Amino acid sequence: MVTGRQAPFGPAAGKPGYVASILLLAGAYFGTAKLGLQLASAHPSITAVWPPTGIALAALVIGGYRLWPGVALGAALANTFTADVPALTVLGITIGNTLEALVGAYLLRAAGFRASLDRVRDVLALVVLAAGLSTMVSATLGVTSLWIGDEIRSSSELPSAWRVWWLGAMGGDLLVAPFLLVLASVRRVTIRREQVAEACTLLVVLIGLSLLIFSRDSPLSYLIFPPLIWAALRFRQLGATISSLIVATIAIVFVERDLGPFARSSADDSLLLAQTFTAVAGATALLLAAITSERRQASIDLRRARDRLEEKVEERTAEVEHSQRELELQGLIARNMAEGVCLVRAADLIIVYANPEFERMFGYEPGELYGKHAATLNYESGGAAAAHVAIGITRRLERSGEATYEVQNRKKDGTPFWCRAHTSSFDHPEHGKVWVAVHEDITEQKRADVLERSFVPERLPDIPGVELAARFEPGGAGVEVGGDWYDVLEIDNGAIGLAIGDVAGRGVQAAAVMSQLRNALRAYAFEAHPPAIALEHLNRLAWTLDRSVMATLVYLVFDPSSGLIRLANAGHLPPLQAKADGSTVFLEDGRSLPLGARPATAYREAEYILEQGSTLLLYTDGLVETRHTAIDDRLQHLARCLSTGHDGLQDLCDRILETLDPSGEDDVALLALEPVELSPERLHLTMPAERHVLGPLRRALRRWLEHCNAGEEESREIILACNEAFANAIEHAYGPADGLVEIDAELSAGCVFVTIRDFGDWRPPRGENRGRGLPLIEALMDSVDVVRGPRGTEVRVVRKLERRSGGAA
Amino acid sequence: MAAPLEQVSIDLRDDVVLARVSGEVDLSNVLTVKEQILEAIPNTAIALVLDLSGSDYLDSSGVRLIFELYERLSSRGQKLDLVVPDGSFIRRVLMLMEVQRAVPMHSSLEEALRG
Repeated sequence: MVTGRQAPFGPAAGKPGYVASILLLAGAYFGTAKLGLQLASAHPSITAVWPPTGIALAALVIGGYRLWPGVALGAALANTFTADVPALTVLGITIGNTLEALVGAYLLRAAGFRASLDRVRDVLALVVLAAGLSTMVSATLGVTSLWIGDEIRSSSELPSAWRVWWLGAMGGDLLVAPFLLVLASVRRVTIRREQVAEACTLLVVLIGLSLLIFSRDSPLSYLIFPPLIWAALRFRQLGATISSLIVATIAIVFVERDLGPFARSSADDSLLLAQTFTAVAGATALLLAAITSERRQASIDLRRARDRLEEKVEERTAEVEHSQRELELQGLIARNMAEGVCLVRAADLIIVYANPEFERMFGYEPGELYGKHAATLNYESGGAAAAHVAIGITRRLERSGEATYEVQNRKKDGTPFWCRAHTSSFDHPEHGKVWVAVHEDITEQKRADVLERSFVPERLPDIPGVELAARFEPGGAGVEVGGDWYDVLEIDNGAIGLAIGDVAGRGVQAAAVMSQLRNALRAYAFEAHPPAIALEHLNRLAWTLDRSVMATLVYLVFDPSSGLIRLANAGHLPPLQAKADGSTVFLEDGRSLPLGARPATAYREAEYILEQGSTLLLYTDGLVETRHTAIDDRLQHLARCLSTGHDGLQDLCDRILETLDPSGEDDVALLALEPVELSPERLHLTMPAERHVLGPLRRALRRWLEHCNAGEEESREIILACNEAFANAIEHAYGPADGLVEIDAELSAGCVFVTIRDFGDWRPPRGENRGRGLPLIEALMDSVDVVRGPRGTEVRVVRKLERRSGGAA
Repeated sequence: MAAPLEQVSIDLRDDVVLARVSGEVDLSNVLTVKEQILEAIPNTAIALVLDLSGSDYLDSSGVRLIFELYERLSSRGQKLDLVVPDGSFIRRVLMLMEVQRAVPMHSSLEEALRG
């Protein structure tokens, strides 16, 4: 059963409402005042039962101070029509009653009073501030007014009059006001069905007991407490106030008739006793109700807090479960990864996890690394130093959160090895902050990196009289190095050495052998050893290196001026020659055993002529060997490629690789050479700005000048002049980084025009005795121009040929 | 990359150091040549004879070398003599650079040792 109810003294909206409130309040005040004054005995204006005080207080607390005129009006009327007292006295009493209500309401508001009375502090405020203190105002003013108006004749009556007034007003504040306040503050009264029966029972018991107690003389008044407590505990503020009011009313009715335990000789005394008893009982009931309310509120708060906590716990549990699954997935990935993964607790650098690959990489048994310090993994001669490495890495991680680095690690047996590692941080649910380190063994790669640079020339030399092109495609996984190599050598007498080879096996061992063979061949070549002798020396070297070395190699020396090839072949696939007419021939002669096959082998040598328009191709087995096709077919395929002509050697190399499409399992090396007519008119060279090319430059110029039929002396002078210009470019044009110098030489109208061009920015000459080059050039040449532009410097020299035979001069 | 361009041989004849340079001298090997010669001259030597008869090429860095040797030796009271055959290309280069104004130039070793 639900009942809605408006507060009777709710703030009125407009002026008519306000006036109505005032009048209603005045009426209620007047009515209850008359009721109370009927009980007055000692003096018609002083009564021990004074309900209006409670009404006035409740009205001002709920409706605001502005309702005070209602109180004043009610009080004035009540006193005017009660007894024949002078107007001045009525005014004093009225002021006292009005002030009482205002002071009571003010004190309660200042104390943060709540009309619902559901807190103990509200009950105490009502008892002490309103009932106790504010009532003194009206008692004092009222009694004083009566005394001045001669209504109280003897000053000895004053204390008793004051006491009666005060306690009467107090009864109003403790019995009537709570009932009104609670009634006003309850917006919805909810009574459950089963409570209706209980409420009726309570009402019957309460009224029955009250009638029983207050109608007899025996002092059984304490019997009223159980039902009051019942009302307070079960029906709280409303129950307590209504019950108190009922008990008080019944008690007063019997006391009026001089019945019950409070009946005394004086009517006022009887009433005061009865009222004090019921007021104390009512206040007690209110306190109990407030305590119950507070308990209940506390338990509601507690339940809400518990519900919120449960919600949070559920949320967190879901999160944890989620991250747990994520972790399981990550764990699965980590276990099966090809890279080694370990987790290191950031707080103390203890390893808390390592995947199988990581354990294998470091040579530990499964689970053996757990609980060890991360420094165990780092390679250093002493333990302290290894810890230093680990701490150094950690410091970098703390700064940037993650890091990729190369680190030298230590296997369980102490073997050092290199790893590339990527480490990032992770908040682990169990271990807190951890470092997740992914390691990859790069020892092989690191060695290979160093070696690979020496396998093939960085760039092929620019040699007048030949065109060159080469390709090198590493096979396999791309990490492990193969054994193929090639080289181009400028031999002192103007000849060119070509070498291509293949060391059996792969990896660092093969690479090391290859590197040694290559360097040794260079030394033998520069000493101008014929190819067969060079191979004989290499074979001897191979036997000193390692008995298991097996390598194939073709080494040939080509003289551009004569077209003669001298060739020795240690078990390698034969070079392929394509002639100008498109026919092809494999250069099969000059073949002997591979290097390392037998000690003290004598190597055969063969001679071929490479005419103009021919192409020579050297290659390794990776180009022609496949699992599915016979090698002879592949060789024929290669020959057809070469016979169909081409647009330059670079194009030819690209087409060969495209057409034969090697499997990629093995290295592929290609080296192609074509003799080109030294043009008598033009020579173009591009050379690095390095001192060691000065010799080859002079030889290239000498060959060209011979073609130009220049005389010996003038050739020397032109060569010296060009050498000086080139040397200037080496010394002045570039910083330590690589640079290139171009030489363009042209024979025209009997004059040699040479341009030496660099692409640097010249700096002033350094050191003493520099800058002698230019005067020398000027002394030797007919004309010298130095043109410095934004892109570099050109030195242009011209020299008329004196001894030119024939030609355009 | 290439084989050595030059060859330097040293002979000690009494107080005279005889250095024969054959082959070619250019920017690429001039420092090597200088070191080999300077190392061979004891403090007690009174003269260095630099024999260039076997050389067929010398560029301006070689000429600088000759001037530098001359400076170093003369500041210690030691003498420098060059041997450059008459009519050779190197003689022409040295003459162009006016080397003969500072350094005595002889056409044969005998002449230099006599002088």
